[in-house]
Amino acid sequence: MTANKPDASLEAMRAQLQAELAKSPTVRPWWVEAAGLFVLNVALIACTFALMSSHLGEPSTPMARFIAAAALIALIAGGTFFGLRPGSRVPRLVMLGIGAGAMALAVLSGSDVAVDGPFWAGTSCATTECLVALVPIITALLVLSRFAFDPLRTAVVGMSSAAVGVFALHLHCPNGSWAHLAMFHAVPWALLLLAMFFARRSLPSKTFAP
Amino acid sequence: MTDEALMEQFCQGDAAAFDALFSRHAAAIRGYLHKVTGQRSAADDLTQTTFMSLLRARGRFQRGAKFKPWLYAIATNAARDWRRRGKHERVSDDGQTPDSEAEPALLADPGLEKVVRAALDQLPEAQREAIVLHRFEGLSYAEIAETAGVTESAVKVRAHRGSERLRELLKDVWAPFEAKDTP
Repeated sequence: MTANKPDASLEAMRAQLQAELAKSPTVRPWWVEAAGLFVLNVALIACTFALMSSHLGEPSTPMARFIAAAALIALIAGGTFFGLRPGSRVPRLVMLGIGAGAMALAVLSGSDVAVDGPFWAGTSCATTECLVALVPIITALLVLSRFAFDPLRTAVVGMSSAAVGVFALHLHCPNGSWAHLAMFHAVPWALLLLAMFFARRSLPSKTFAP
Repeated sequence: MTDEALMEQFCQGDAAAFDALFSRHAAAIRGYLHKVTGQRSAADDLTQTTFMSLLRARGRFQRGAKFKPWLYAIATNAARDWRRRGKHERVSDDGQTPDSEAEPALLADPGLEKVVRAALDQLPEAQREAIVLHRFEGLSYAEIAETAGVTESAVKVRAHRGSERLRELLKDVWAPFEAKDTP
């Protein structure tokens, strides 16, 4: 009887797995979730632009602003795609560099022209950034919970999701001083990334596939 | 038929291919998980979790990739999560798992097996995984590297350091362990 016990437990397992398979007979390719997350991010950026269109800021020269915006879009798209793509870690490491570079560019490309008013008035920028990034971050957490916890993957997808708020602010904030951009645009982005990292770490994984 | 061909068929909707993969690998995966967790009941739970993950995440299996390293990567991730969440502390009052006797033996000598398991438990997670996957599961260093998402040389270093540590821990009880399998 003892010798049959392992086989019996494997057969019970097989039956449960077959029942699960019957519930989900079709395969969903990995890129469907990446595309869904990217579309959501773009839609949120579009909504934010529509709401803030009457208040287009001048934080930097047009060319610098365009380059930083392009870098942020590359981070949002690339981070979502390569962050969720299975396989080699190298593209994710590259995206980590691109993310840090894009954020540095967004801060350093400022016009250095500060707007009148107290420095701490910039908290409204940080608040807006966090609010805009909330939905992408929660959605990304749900998607990431279908993967085994991977610090690098979480960091790349987190950078990308948190950048949605930065991108919306980047084109609308009138304050171009680097101190404002660093304190109220880049620091909230980094804090959102950290918060997302620890949230994902504490969330249970639905699957452990890499 | 190869595992990769079966996986391909499974991804195309063939449930029998999944059944074949389960038949081929379930016992080995459970044995591996027992070695890395040290608990039979945990190994059973994690084997189910591993195959459930395989089933749910089959869309992430890349065409051209090897199946076995991918499957062991899932099992390793599940075991790491189990450890990280502190579930390994669930043991009976006498420090034994209630059903540990039901698992196929790691070694022929039960006394020696106990000592080897205790020694393996003292190794850092990454070194233990490298040694168990290479020595007991028969994966190559390249396959383990694929499993762990690190370079092959990093796996060799882990296995070498783990072997060195095991050699120290087992020097009085198992002389044959000393000379074998240094990368």
